[in-house]
Amino acid sequence: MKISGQSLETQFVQPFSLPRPDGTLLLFQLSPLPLGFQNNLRKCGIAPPTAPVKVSRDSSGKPMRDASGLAVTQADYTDSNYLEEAELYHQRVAVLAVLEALRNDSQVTFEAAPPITTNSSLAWGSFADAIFGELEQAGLTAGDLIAFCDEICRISNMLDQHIKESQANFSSPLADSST
Amino acid sequence: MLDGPRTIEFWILRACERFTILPSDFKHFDYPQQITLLAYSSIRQNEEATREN
Repeated sequence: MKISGQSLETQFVQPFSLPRPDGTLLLFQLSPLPLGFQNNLRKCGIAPPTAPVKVSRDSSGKPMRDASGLAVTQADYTDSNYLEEAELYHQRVAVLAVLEALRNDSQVTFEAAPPITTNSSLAWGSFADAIFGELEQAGLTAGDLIAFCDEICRISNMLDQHIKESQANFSSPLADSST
Repeated sequence: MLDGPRTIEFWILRACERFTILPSDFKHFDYPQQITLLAYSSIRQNEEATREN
């Protein structure tokens, strides 16, 4: 039910405008990410990649060993596969965050449908990539995605204010005692 | 007992305890529902603290 176009349920929707190169603005309605969003992503199999491990070597190229004689290892954060996977992971998180934040914007629709199964990193990864493709096709750039994410972070950090707004719903307004 | 301000993790568990919800289930509620539960739990906690004093 809506009264004067306003839903009675508080949705905490925030208007967000994205400037286009031709000077026009794209208007969106963003909602904060639910608490546990990151956790839900992990359940869908969207998790950060782990860097491969390599054996540490001394200046002469010999493997370094600890006191018990075991080879000393270290994570290789420069591995090209790891860097590619990390980039894709961040892109997927950003895309899924945008999708989640747009859940109350009835003007925005996507062709790709979310996977029915949870805990399928392949399905959810492909879904995020498909949404990214749709965003690119719509002319959105990497900068636009960052602008979206910045605003989503801002409105998702307004928890205290939203709780106060919600607390107000539990009390009747004070009667005017001046009359 | 730690005296620092409570974190959001504390308030979520407090609300889960009050409504007998599993913390893992709380994360499946949508944002307005989560906020409503936290707001109600916070008011009730204040009321209970006032009554005890």
